[in-house]
Amino acid sequence: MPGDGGFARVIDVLPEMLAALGETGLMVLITVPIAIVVAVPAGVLMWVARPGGLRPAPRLYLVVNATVNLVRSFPFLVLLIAMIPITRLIVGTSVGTLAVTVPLAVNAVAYLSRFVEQNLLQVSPGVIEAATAMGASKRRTIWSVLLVEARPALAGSVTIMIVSFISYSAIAGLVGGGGIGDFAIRYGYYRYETAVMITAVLVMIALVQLIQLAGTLTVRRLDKRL
Amino acid sequence: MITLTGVTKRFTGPDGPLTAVDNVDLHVPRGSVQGVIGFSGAGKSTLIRMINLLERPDTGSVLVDGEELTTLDEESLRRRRTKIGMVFQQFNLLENLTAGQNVELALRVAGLPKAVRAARVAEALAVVDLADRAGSYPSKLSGGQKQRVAIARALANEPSVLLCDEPTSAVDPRTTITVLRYLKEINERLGITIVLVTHEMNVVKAIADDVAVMEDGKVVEHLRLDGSPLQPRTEISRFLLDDELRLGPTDVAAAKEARRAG
Ligand SMILES: Nc1ncnc2c1ncn2[C@@H]1O[C@H](COP(=O)(O)OP(=O)(O)OP(=O)(O)O)[C@@H](O)[C@H]1O
Ligand SMILES: [Mg+2]
Repeated sequence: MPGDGGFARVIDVLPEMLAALGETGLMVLITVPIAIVVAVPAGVLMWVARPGGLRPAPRLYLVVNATVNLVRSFPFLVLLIAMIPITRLIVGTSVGTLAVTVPLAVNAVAYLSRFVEQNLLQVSPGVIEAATAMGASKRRTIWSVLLVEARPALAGSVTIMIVSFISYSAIAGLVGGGGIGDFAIRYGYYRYETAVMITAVLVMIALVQLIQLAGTLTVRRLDKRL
Repeated sequence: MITLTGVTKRFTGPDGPLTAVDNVDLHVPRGSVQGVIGFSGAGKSTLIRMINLLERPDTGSVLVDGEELTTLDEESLRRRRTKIGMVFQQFNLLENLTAGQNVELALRVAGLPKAVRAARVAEALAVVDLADRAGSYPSKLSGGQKQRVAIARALANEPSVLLCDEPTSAVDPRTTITVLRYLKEINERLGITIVLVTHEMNVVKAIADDVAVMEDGKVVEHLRLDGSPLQPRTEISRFLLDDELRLGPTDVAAAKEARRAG
């Protein structure tokens, strides 16, 4: 009988919980690389094309900027639903873990692009100018100066993205995306198994702490300013 | 050798258009040290930045070692710039690279093969006596050391010209002397032509052969520093040569004086 299992139930549902954790892992593993591969160039593009940038292209900047804002203005649940036709087109179905990675990735790309742009804007204009004075090409300036100086901040942004991602992936459960967040909602909200839900939440807390710790250590290793 | 002829640069400032550099001619003979002095906003930085085209003049010609820079295409200008070193007030080193890597960056930009870079880095750092700090990150160096690394970086590609925009304005007086000594040595030993922008007369007096005094975008006077007594013709030169800080009476003092009189 659901709802009064107590913590003994946790043992029963352990395999299911591990499977859910695996689904979260899969979502992260697919989405994070996509987000990085798309968002870093997008952020660099905005930085280069912005008015007063390395190679200003006002219209291109406007388009990328507006697109990023557009995606970010959707509440994630709405984005998830609005994207169903596109998701179906890409993975053939709109339900399941794989399907959910599509809106998750789009969301992550939009957020991370903006973070990357902000990180790049923090790089000292003097250093960029020194590169130009040295005779560095634009490509060289981006690769060997801009991204080198922004590296620690970029690692911080990726960490923030992964953490907020775990929370978004819980909403993805509504379309059968699975994952640990979805697991917590199913047991806590639909089946009143409070103990199971609490355990799942504890697992998520530990997960987030771990990711943040790894992120902070990475930033500290990359940052040579102190 | 640098020859600027009729260079003008206009900007759109907050209160409409302004002429930062106004029809300036400047000739800097090979191997000499040219000082540029003036108050804030006189156009010194804009002028020196036009020599390597960080700022493109609206009109006029920029000749460096006989080559006109304003008509070069992007790639040629890029290659030309590797032979014009530049040093900045805020050093502008990459914080995430070591001193050695910062110097090496200039060599990578110039396309030098890896095999020869290490020796050139050591050589450039040795000029400023920092060979032993190659592995240090800028955050572990003092202001003076950072500026010396920046000088080494600017020298790495064996430039004919070194542009210095207020290289001593962010360091203390004793460090100023150290930095100027290195610049002087570089000029004398390597024969590199130096342009040095500052607002301190003592800095240019220490090393320049000639000082261009700027005001409102124009070079209003040249002061020759050949040992003969200086004879400033303009008000601004006299002010800059006067190293005493005359504050003049404050409003409070003036009010007191008025009360006593009335
Ligand atoms: N990119 C720019 N856009 C607009 N105005 C500019 C720009 N660069 C310089 N100016 C203006 O041109 C004038 C000359 O500036 P410049 O930086 O050359 O002066 P400076 O003599 O180097 O002053 P300082 O001693 O403060 O460094 C100033 O009025 C400045 O505000
Ligand atoms: Mg200046």
